[in-house]
Amino acid sequence: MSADPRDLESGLEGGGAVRLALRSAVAMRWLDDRGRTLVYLSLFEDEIEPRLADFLAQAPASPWTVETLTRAALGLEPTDAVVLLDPAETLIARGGACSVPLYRATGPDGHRLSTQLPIAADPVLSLSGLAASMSVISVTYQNEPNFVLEAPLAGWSRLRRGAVTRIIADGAVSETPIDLQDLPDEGLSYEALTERLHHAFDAFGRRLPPGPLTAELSGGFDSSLAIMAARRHGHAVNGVSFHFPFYEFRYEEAIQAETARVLDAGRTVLEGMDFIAYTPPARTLRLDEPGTVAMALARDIEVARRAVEAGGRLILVGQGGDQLFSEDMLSPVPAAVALTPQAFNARGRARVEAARARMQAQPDWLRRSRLTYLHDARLDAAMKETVGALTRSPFSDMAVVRCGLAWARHSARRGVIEGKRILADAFEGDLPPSVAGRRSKVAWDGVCARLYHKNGDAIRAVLGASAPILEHIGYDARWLDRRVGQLQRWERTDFGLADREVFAAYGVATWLQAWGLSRVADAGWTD
Amino acid sequence: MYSPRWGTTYLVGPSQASGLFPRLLGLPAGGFVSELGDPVQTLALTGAFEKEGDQTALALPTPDPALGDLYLKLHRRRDVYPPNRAVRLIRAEARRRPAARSVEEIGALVWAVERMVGDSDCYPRALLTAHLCLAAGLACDLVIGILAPTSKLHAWCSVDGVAPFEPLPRHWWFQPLMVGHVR
Repeated sequence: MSADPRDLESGLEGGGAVRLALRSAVAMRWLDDRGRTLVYLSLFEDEIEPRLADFLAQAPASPWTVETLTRAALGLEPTDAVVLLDPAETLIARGGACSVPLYRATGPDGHRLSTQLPIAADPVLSLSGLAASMSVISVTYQNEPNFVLEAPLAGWSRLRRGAVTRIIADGAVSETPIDLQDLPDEGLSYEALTERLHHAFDAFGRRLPPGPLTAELSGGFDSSLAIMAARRHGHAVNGVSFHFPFYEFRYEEAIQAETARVLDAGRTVLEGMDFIAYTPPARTLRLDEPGTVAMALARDIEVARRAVEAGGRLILVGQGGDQLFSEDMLSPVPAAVALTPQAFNARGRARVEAARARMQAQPDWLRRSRLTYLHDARLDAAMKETVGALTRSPFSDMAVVRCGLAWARHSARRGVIEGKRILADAFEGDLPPSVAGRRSKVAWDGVCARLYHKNGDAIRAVLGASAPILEHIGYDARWLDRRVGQLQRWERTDFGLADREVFAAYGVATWLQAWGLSRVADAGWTD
Repeated sequence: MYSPRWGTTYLVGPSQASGLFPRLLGLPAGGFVSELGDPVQTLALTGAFEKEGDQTALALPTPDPALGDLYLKLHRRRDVYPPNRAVRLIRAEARRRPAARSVEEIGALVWAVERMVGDSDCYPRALLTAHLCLAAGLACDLVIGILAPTSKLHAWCSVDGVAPFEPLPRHWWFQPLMVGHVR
């Protein structure tokens, strides 16, 4: 087993080659396995050895094929990827929550696989690829454009998450989904599932690297479980909490303080409104693709900065807990809804509708059991490279994910949906009563109203600076400006609906600006 | 400020909190307080865990269809029945209706009515609850709260700090704008 070099190449029958280029954020191990070069990719370099070992334990006795890789990928950590290089074909398995970016392009010299879009080298942008970035907000949780594979950079495609992709020498590409519903139903009892959860969280805590950890300490169930698991294995944890001095948040300070006390975690309190959505971030991050995650950059960068300052590289979060345990993994995510047509010009409307039609033509990718709804990873690699830290959630560990699936099956057998009761029972006594029996989480409507009031001008400035390009892509820049004004004046307070197109446009605008593309002429364009 | 006379909400400056304006809204003169506490301390019947309502089967009473009619009247005609007028209606109706006796029974009956009519809305729920409290001889607090600075409102009713029924325990998000003591 070897680490590095950064680029790998495999010759193809009939000529050409597959080249795999790796960015610095991506940790890699490779080995020769049954006549193929097996490359394991993860952003979590401190855990890559046990992750690879667990994956190899699923490896077939027979040679690797699409079928055997798909079966083995049911045990692949959802955040990771495996590439099998061979002269006849290349097979790539990406977990459903894969945080390793993977793109492909085909040229006269063969196929290129890359963990980074080479935007700076040759910024020829794809209008349909950008339309996909805009359209993806029309599907709940599908913040990453997994339905449509065109990347924003012309000539490049995204490798689908939650799938095994097969590329053969003549360039033909096919996909096979990795669907956890293909796992046999073990029919676990409530007690057995409780025990499984303990093992899964214990494994999470055990695999964390040595050294201090930072955590988002919201007083919520899920982040508290992440902290608990880390503390169980002796990790020092410093929690970062965000304080909002509003009526509906009046209980949060006591809950967070109690959580820190019981879990023996340090706690730093920051003023929430100083880092609220759309606050201009302290640093620029160049993402491979536009993403709504850009809204929260100020906050995410601040937490990451504090993690690095404390000597760590990971930020514990509870992301994915609701998706696995509050919702039903056996039911699909709701289908794409139409975006506000007035937000786009005629060209843009046609593009987003075409993207939506393609989403609707592939309803299987709405299955929660493919895990693509679990985590929006567009920030991760860039955050790691630029700031030096990234988030780590137990709810993207396969062992915990399988518990979520078992819980869904258990609930289906009983005909009752009980949300996170299984977590409360499994970890009763481990969490403070203020968390285990806490009131529901606070509504964010009041915060959203305030943030638009506070940052409306900043949002308009960002959108305005990219208005010509936004128009070229298909937005109606004047509509966007008017809508921001309505949100700023609280004429529209149906957040999540009234501002969808705004935060998608904001993601596109900040992405363009980060890459230095401020005028239409700064890039080439294809349909 | 919330107007129980018109059922509308106004964003005003502090100087308008006293004098003629509140009286135009149907609020009592001198009734303004700078901070209004939520009378609710506990919920008698509610959703169970963290986010969503309890799906556990519950033995609910079979309500009088007239309660469903009252619920729907208050729900669909809130333009006709803003809180002041609605309270007059529910008081009048209460005199001719023996119903539940305890707070828990009231909660179960309200839930049963919502299941019967196939709808769930805080405004008719709060008023129906107040109606049943009056029928049982219980004084209650009728609250209208707001998730400031949005215009999202919520209504709820409680007896001595106990809310008989809240399907989703989210009343505490809403800062009370008006607390009416109904007897």
